[in-house]
Amino acid sequence: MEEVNVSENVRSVSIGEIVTSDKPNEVLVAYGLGSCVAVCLYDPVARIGGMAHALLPETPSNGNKGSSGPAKFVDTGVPALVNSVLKLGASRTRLRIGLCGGGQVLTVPGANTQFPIGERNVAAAEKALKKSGMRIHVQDTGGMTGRTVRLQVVDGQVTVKTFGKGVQVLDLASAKR
Amino acid sequence: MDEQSVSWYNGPLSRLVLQVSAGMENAARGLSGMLGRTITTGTSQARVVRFSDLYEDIGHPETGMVGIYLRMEGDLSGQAILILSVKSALDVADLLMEEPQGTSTELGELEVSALGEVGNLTVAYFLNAMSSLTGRDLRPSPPAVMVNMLGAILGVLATTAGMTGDELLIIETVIQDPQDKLVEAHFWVLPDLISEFE
Repeated sequence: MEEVNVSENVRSVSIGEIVTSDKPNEVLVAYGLGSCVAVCLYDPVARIGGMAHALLPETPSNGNKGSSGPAKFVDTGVPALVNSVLKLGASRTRLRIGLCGGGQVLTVPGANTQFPIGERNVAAAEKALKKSGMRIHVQDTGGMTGRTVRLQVVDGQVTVKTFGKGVQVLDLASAKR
Repeated sequence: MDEQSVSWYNGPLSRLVLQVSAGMENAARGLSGMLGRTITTGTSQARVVRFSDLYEDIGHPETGMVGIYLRMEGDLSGQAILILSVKSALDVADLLMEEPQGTSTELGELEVSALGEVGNLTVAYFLNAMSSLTGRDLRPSPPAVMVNMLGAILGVLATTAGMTGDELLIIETVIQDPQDKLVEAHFWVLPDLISEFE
């Protein structure tokens, strides 16, 4: 059974949401990501973390971002996430970036052409982060299985639980810039 | 709720729920024959949910579950999905393959293929009844069986609905076998555009 720290405060990051924190006992969690992506930002000195859970790659050309949260779309969600953590006191130059999710969950037998929304979400996140002047330090994307992504505010550790495949730890804090 | 929403709920949507209900009764008849036991349906209910509330009533988004997903095409378009627990999916596979309960212990290729047939048959019976009621041509796509975290399965619905809006209209019917409760599945119909059903 998973070890549970009693003082740990889990903050769920739902589809379209951005959650930031500077509280060491908080853990930001996006549960059951399929083709969605979780973008994680962490400042290891200020110990500030943020996570966006984005559904679709690009804001429609009519500019309608919708009402399901600031991170429904990757391209507008990423800069919104960056602004949120900076506002909380993080330093742009110290930020470490993690990108997880973007799987291909739906495969229809006999269909040659699939709509690779997961891949497109990952590509949109890479593009948006580059545009914000940032590079990705740790990444776990693609595949066909769901993931739960956790970011510990205390130390920047990102854990990814992949359906049927166990848990892996990505150390965001000590990733080289 | 404003006046426009009330008239919409009492008009097109309530008609659609009745049609879905009749379609599901037909699907239950088909499933009863396929599985060799009586399958019944609960009351069909419509609800509009935000993406963040999608998992309510079904389970935790991290839980491993089974989703049998099809697109509905033709004169009306939308998504349909049968959602069931892994345990229930294994029981259904055993029933279908006429094996004693507990024979299937994992969802391998054979079991997944059998579940795809369950999805095919359920939606075919459902759409036949809907076609008769509405006089429209309705066709299912091939089924996709997903064995995955519930969040990943339902994310497929959110992705499709998210392209045009910020909420999902779900018409839910619970189907089960009242005798042994081996079969228990949530069947969701998600029309792409409610206006198409008016």
